[in-house]
Amino acid sequence: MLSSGISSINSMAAKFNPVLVAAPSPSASALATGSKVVQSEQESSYSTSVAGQQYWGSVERAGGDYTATVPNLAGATASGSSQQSAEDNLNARIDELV
Amino acid sequence: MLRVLLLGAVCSLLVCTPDVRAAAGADPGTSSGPVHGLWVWKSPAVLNAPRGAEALRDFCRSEGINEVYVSYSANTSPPEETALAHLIGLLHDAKIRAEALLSSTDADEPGKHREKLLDKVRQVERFNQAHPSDRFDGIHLDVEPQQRPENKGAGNLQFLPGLADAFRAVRALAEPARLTVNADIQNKLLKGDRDQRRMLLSAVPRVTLMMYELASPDDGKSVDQKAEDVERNSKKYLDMAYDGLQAGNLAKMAIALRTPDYQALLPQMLKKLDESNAANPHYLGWARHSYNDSLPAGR
Repeated sequence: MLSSGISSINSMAAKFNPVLVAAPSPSASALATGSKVVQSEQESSYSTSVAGQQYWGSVERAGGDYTATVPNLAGATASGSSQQSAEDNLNARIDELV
Repeated sequence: MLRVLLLGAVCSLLVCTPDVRAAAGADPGTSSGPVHGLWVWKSPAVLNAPRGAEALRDFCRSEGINEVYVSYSANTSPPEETALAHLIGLLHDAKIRAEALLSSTDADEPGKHREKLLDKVRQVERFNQAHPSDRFDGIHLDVEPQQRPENKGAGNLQFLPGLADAFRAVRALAEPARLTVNADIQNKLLKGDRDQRRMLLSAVPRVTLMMYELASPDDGKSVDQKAEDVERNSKKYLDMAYDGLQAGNLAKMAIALRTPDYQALLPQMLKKLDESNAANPHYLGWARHSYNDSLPAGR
């Protein structure tokens, strides 16, 4: 199942995403509180769940577009006109890759 | 007399038919005022929140939204489908249309990428067959081939023919299934020549221009200056889109603004779009990106 619990995951998304609840990582526990981990104005870290697997990555904004990437998964990058669009496209990309 | 009675009986049956309820108030922007749209991403998470569907319905009512673009995955699970059907039922009861939001960066390419998008459309059709009283009213496409590196660059519209083909392919599936088709577009597409713009605007009946990044919260401009920018640019893009094209089988255009650009000023700017363009026959209405930006923690 491709699901879309995503960045700055709050309790709502955590409830939706049993993987996050069952196996939180150190970074996930920070995200689960709803505290978005913002590294700069142009980049934020995020978490997403695809096919029951949890992935962590970053979203960068450049030139008006957003690019979401999971660094440790080759080819897992996607862009969009909005952060949400980029994340949605990345979920589809991960679904193709795994 | 008998004919009148029969007509009355048929009408009564139609009123009670679920499909008719689902289509009630369909297609705003043509007969019942301008479109006021709203994107909803990550719909499973949004709907999994306590009373998430009701909260979305209430937000639409308070913000004058009359159609919603709900992200939809071909891999939607049965519980997620049930939640979606519940949401659509609530929206229809509130006279708000629901479009299935399908996104892609490569559906302009024929073959497996486009087929993947078409499979999503077929999945929406299956959803509608399974939920005839709470069916989607349309397909909302967010296909963004301009995001791929080979399609970057001013004036680079090499992807346009494939994009138009994808729109037509979706339309060929959707319209017989009584689904409208609306496609998000970028202003880059309006900078093409007349033939390119005709190709785009004749491929789909409705487009939504993502008029983003005209402003930012810290640009130092006054509210009036921002509103003037919205007015000037919306008129410019509408003129640019239809310049030299004969009226007829061309898409109508909604114009979208997004929360990060205007924050709390967004409703004022959307209102400005209607005020500035209501008399333009090509203007469909406005769309707001996105509901997720109004949720706690930006989700």
